[in-house]
Amino acid sequence: MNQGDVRVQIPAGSPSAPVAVPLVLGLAARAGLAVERVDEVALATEMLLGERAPADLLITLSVDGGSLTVAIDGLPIDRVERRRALLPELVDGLEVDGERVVIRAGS
Amino acid sequence: MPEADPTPVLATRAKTGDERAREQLVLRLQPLVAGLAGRFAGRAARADLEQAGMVGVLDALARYDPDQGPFEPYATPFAVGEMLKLARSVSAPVRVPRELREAARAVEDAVEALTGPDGRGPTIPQIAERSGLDEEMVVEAMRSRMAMRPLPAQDVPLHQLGASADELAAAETRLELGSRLERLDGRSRQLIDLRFGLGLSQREIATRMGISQMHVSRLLRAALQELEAED
Repeated sequence: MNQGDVRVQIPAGSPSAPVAVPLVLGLAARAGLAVERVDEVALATEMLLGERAPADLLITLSVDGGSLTVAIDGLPIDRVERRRALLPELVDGLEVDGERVVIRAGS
Repeated sequence: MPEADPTPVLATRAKTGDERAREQLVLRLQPLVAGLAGRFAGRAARADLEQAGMVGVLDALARYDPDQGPFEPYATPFAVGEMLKLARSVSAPVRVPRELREAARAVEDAVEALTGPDGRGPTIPQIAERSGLDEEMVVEAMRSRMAMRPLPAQDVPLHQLGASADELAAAETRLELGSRLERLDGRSRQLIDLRFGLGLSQREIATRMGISQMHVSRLLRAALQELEAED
């Protein structure tokens, strides 16, 4: 974890997107992303997390130069798979490794 | 000698399926719609107001009988009605403070004004500078905007979207969303096909549909929520 990263733990069943999306928007602003990218990385985060966490989640957000990375640990695999056809259009990078998903917006 | 009003003739031809007459009529009525949109300034984004007005004009066209006289006065209440509906619908399902609603509109107008000819939108600091809001308020306004209901809009003819029915069908097949897509109305389905199937940006879709990028964003969000509801 780098200095300036933001980590949030969300217990299963607790509000998830309503907690994470404001953080995504704030850090996307810090990364200097264009508004459409900001909007779509927020949308991708919403799709992955849902209104309430489907499991215990750990979310790590980091800004590196002109990009924002959102790593989500603990996501059920089927939740990611059902959205896999749509997610690549919303973000510039998508990595899935078991229950860990990493999305990136920006260069 | 004043030029005879061509709108009844154009409207009659448009009603019989003459696309060229329909386009001419729409072009001719654009200044009227733009003027009417001015009455609602500050209550919704300008581009969305004009698009809503045009929805009203097309609704008027479907009901128009040339015996009722010139088309413009007939269409005006329809256009105003749709703009009013938009102004009312641009409110969140939960109560949003007035200050935040105004900030959201200022953000939307700034995005439209600052988007370059290449379609690249502004950053949040640029929006803040243009709108006179601080960055935190811009972010807060964007978040509240996401929660607002989009204006339900009519399907857009395929030729206007620049995509054929075959292209959209092929795009849907690639997405592998199956029967979930059947739950969506025509407009929402087109949006999903264009954004995810054909890879058009929100800005490109907005241009083709004649609405603002942020309106496309809200429509997309609503369409995706509908798809998610199927899970």
